[in-house]
Amino acid sequence: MDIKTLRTIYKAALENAVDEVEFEDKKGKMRMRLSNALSASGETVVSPLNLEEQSELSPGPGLQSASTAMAEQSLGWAEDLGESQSLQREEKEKFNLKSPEIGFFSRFNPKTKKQYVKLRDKLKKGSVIGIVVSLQVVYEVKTDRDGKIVEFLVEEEQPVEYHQPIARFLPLKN
Amino acid sequence: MVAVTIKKMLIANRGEIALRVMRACYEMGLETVAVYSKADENSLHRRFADSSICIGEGDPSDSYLNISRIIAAAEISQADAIHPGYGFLSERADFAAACKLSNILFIGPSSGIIERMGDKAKARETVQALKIATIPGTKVLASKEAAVTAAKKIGYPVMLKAVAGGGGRGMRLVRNEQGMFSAFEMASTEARKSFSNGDMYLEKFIGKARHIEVQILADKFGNCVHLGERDCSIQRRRQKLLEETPSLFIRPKVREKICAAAIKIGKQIKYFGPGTVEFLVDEKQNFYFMEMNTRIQVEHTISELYTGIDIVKEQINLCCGHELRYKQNKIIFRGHVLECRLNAEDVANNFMPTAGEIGRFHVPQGLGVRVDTHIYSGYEVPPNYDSMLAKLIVWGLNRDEAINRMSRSLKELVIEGIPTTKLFHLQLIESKEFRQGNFHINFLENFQFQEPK
Repeated sequence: MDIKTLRTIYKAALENAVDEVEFEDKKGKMRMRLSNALSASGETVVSPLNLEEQSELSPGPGLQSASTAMAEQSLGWAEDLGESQSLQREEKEKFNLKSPEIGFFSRFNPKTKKQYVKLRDKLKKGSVIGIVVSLQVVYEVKTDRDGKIVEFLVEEEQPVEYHQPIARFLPLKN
Repeated sequence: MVAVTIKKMLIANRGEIALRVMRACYEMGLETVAVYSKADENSLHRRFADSSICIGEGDPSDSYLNISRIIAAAEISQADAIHPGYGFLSERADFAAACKLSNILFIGPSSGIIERMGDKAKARETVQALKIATIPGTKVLASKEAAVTAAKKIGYPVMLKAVAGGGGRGMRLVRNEQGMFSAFEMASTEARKSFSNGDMYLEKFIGKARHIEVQILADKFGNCVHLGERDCSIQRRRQKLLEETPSLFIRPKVREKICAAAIKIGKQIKYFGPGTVEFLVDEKQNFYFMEMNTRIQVEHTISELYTGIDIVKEQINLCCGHELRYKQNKIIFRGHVLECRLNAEDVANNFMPTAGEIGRFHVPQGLGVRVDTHIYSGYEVPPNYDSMLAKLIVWGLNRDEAINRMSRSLKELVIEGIPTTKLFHLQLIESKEFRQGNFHINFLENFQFQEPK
């Protein structure tokens, strides 16, 4: 299980004021217990159960809204978990690709029925990553520089508002 | 005709009117959807709605005036009705038509009615056919030269007006022939910018006139009632600052006639919902039709307190196709009502609109006091919109009590952080002229505001 998934679960737990979280997906299972005075003591107990190391993992669908909310917040707690500096830098460089219009989002090309892009594909500037359909008009969501999508923040066919973050984008280093 | 049932209302507006509409919706058991611009992220209307959708940038043309974004917002939120409030898209026939096309109930009259009354020249023709007096004037003028010829016939001073005008924009008082050319250029340019229509016409200028308007309610079955008149003569550059009902000025006989005229117009055009018919009344109490507003108005509140009828709720009911619930003789008029429009304006600096953060904020309370506002302590007033901060409405058993109540309520009101018109209103309400009811639409031109020492 990667650090990003942990962070997502941690934030979701904090936001919903729960003390304990159990999480399971096909790659592993874990339980996280949070002490009440967390901000004061900084105490966090994470007990992994059959945790298998994974290099990459996207969060389960139920957690996407929580990850949207956390996207812009600082991640200072990551230091407590001994996270490497390079990951933090990557976190800083990521930004959101936003919806240009109000409508329904799709990652699939309506003609070919194929996904426009996959996570971590190397993308050129101007690549279409998805569409927003507003009053039967199709608006393409494009990248404005070279890089890759590290996370989609909106599920297939879900409504989006103006400038709603649709995906986390990591620009390519020069 | 079967009445439509609706469940979810999208409110295509901001500020106090968006809150006002939501209150009516909640009392009727309707869900609400707010739309907001990026400048309104911290607004109360966003917070008070069941859900909210960002529709664009702070510039109104990108958000609150953007028809396709608002329709799209209704689509993704599955709203089945749209309330336009006042201003913005409330009197746009194309918006009403777009709603209909998308199977969304527009809370207002049909696009046909909006078009008919929205075009000031067409509206005058409709009213003249009913033998109701309009201010002597012209049709659309072909050029500024034509304006000079027409003005000679009517006699100076004349009012130059934009066909698509409203809110005092595209309007100029012309006192003599020398001033006509430049006034025409300026007013026409202003109208083209504001309403994308630079067509102008002329009207005779009536001095010391009163602005008296009649609130009507009509259903789709041909029933129409009035909720009395409102005296909105206290204006600054054609912007109303203080309204009252009933008018102290008009005689009972004139009141009867003017209300009957408003109903006649409503019935003639098969109007439905709440509408306002505006008249100018001269010193001899002759009244002339000016225009009809096919929407809820800022000052609808004073008629509500005067009659006890919730006009926004009635509006929703009537637009859904329900029959009018009130017969004229069952409507009870009681007491006297005043409204002050408190604006974020620097009175000492020529009423310059201001923006900024509201500091301490306290609203007046007690019997007969109503405050409709969207501001709160810590709220950042964005520079993008209308400068109105709050409407202070008071009811009294009679005019004297209402004035005294307004005076003490204004003193109770605290809005810190940005300049407001509070002290101006206080001086106005306490002035001898206002007390005596001795004012007209140009009264404020000579009213001297005393700056506090």
